[in-house]
Amino acid sequence: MFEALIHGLYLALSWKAFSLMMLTIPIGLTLGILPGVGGKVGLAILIPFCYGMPPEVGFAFLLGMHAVVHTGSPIPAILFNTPDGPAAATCVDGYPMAQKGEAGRAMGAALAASGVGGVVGAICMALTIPVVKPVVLAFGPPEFFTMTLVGLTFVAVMASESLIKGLMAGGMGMIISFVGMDPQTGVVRFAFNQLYLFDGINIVNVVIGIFAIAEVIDLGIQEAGAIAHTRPEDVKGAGVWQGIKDTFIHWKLTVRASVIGSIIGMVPGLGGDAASWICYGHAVQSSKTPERFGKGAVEGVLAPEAANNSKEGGGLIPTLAFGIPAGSGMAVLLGAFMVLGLVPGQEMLTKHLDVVFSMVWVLAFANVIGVLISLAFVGQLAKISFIKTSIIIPLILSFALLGSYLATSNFGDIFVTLAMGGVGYGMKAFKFPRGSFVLGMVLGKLSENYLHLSMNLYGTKFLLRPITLLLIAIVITSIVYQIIRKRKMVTR
Amino acid sequence: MKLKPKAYFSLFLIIFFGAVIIGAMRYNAKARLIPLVVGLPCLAMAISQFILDLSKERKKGISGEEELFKGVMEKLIHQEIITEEKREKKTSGVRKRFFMIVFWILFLVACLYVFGFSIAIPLFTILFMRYKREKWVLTLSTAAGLWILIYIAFAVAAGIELYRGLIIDLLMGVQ
Amino acid sequence: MRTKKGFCFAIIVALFLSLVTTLNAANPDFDYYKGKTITYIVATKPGGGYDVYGRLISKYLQKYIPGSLVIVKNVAGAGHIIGANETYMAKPDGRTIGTYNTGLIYAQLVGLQGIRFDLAKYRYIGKANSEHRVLLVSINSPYKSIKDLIESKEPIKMASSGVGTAAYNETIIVAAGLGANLKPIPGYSGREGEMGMMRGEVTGTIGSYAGLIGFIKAKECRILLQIANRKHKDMPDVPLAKELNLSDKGRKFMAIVAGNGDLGRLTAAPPNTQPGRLEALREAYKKALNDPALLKDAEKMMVDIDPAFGDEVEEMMKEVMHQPEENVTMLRSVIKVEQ
Repeated sequence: MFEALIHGLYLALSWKAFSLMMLTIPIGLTLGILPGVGGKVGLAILIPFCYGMPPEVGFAFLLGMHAVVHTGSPIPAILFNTPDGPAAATCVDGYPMAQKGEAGRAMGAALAASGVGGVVGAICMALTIPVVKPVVLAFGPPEFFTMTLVGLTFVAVMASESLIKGLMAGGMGMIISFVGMDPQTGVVRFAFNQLYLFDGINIVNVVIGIFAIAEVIDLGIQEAGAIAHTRPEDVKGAGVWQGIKDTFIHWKLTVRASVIGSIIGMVPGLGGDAASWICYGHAVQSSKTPERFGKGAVEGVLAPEAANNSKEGGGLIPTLAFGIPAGSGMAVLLGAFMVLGLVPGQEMLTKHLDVVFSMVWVLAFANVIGVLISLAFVGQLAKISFIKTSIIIPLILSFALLGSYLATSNFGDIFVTLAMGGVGYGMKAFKFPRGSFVLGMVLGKLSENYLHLSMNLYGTKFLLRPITLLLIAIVITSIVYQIIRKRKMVTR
Repeated sequence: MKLKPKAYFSLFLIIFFGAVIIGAMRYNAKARLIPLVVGLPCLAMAISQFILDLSKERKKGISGEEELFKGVMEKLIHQEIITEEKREKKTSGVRKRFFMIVFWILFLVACLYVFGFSIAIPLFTILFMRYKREKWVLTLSTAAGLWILIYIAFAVAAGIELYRGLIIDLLMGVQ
Repeated sequence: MRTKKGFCFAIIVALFLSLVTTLNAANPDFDYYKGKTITYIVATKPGGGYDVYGRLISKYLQKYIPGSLVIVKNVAGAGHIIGANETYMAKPDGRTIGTYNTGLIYAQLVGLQGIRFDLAKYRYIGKANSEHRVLLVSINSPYKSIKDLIESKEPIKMASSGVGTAAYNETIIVAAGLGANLKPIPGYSGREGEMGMMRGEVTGTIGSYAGLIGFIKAKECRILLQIANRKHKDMPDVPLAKELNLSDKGRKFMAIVAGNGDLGRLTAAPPNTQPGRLEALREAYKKALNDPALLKDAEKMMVDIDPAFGDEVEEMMKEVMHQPEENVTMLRSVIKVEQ
């Protein structure tokens, strides 16, 4: 196996592979920054160029872009509170940091955490190769269901002000996720006979609405000043470099989040959005001062960003090991890989282990290089938070509405975003945690589906499976821990 | 009885969860199970929150958004970004400015629907920035910059067809 | 006398023939399209499979309809229903065509709310590919042949996507067609079904060959049946559904699924589209799909081309849609959906 590792490095560093990877990294970064666009478009653009490339070169070409799509995405989230789906968790603390004038620090932290996440994800990918089959197969619908429960306990964790408000926000989010066709019964729920709502409400619209649009309303009321409520000269230690240092100061959290993200990416049952939110919730819960979150705590940026990038490395595992792509982006990637000559399965992990390792190396390199490139110009971008509102408002609105339209290319998207903007503003004004809402939405329908699926497959006995029991224990411990902590804080 | 804004929001939540429960009852048992499991407790919580919000405020009648706004304004003054008199003028106009920004957002959406992205965005930028009394140079260059960014980034590079608006559809003789 | 009669007869025959030919095979009206835009509605958002085919075809359609501009309009939502509706309701002036998932057959048969089209009434321009359906089981399952499956007394769990989706309906229809005890387990989205097969919580699944190709190449499963009208070149040894010894009703059911698979990547025009313009579109489409440059592009985009054109496609669709009344009732009862 060691020779495969080295040979893989050799393949990844070959002139052709490396230079093509360098070419596609900027494409991935740019696509990641534009809200609503994302990796699949990039793949559609790049795939015709792969024709005729030798396999390792083709992989480097495609993976170079794919690896860094999530690296650039925190930038609009931090600067404009305009996320693109998975990066939404970064808004919750990233934007308040920009408001404090610490946009540079936030972006530095996000980027460094992304880099660490990507590298750790690649390492996890490499480490799990020998044990991939039993690990992935140990997680089935019952385990996914209990994992969603663990995630749902974070709904309460994020409710720093009032538990009731947090639970209601989470409940609202879950209900929104139920809109559309129910996979268990075929019933179209809560759609008011609108064909547009048949497929449900798209999370991109919701997230752009409750964060970006709500923020525009606030900026409109504020009228003077800028996003940052401080002047650039007054903020000490707020630069990009500080953000990078933060990643290493909180290295334990960053690494933990990367590992969790990698695992969630590997067992695709939960999906990409869940990874960043679960890690965010974990960051809040594991902090000694959770009340700082939501107001500009740098850990609230580190955790989700690390998870966002590490899950890609995790996602390659089932794709390569079983030919089962972890997500639609992976499906396109797999198709491309197969045309380039890859045959997924046991053969891949034994005879062609060096190719797998070359992918691991490409992931690691692309992530680090992508981060370095971004860090170069992000310091300048941070100044955007000091631009006055009259320019910023049209800027944010344009990007927000454009990004939300791209969710399903239906004008209905814009209406949903507007409605969510109103709700988001209300939630912000009346202290309902928006993070709990989004988490509820991300996990709601998933938890329901897995509950019914588990019952369908195993009856109530599904609760007795070992990993399920372990996860239930985690849920109970988490709840008890939170209750104790809340008591302690009240008496303080 | 005039309610405080936050009570209106709680009322909205009561209506929301109530509607969910009523709606869910129309579906079969399996489809309505989890919505009810979530909706019923939330309804109970919304009702209790509403009652809480109706009770007398200890601070004198400050609404949620005004509280928020006050905090921001204080910071801006502290940094000497705006002066004390300006603040007085501004605090009183919160409601007015709230409706203005909502109007502008809706106006943008209407423009988008009729004119499509390529026209509506520069148009809105120009109108909005002039309303804010920005100089023409700044206004036009921002509008141009935005238009270029959007056009290059999305329409060309990503090859995505942006919503063209009713007018353009009409002009091009398309359904 | 005889020559005069003969002459009259000849004239009558000539008139009759010209009348018939004008009615049936209208002359392709390419002139109309000079300087005009054709909107190609794709019922998904940008970037998916239908979008790729749509953009590829529109590029070459434009080439073969001189003077025209063919633009793709993405109209996504409701599982292709919104796009299919819009195509159906467009003005039949030959300037709107569309592509959508043939799986809408089931939605139409069930009478899903919101459907405003009738698949049998579109004027079809052609189809670009076939999507072979396959029935496969996990490599660890005890079933070695389709016969084993059919004869099994135990219910066989088949992973399927949500109730009401085309994949779910097909599982039920295939079960009814084969007379096999297949039990669909809904709720497996994306490729979760294959993971389920590996875990042993379900035994098999029914899906498209192209979609399952990764899993198949990884040798984690056994293909027991192909459901199509011709064998796929990669699967010479897997039996076709129509080779099996099934009841009449069973055959009809399997024919629906096979037909659905064959009619992949359809391009359709609204009903009553002007005949001359329809002909122009069909001719251009045929030339486009036979153009070596398009085939090269398709290879680069990693999509397959297995076309059929015009009337042939309409015949295929009619055969699938026009089921005897008893079949329709049985289908409706088998894939009922609450609304």
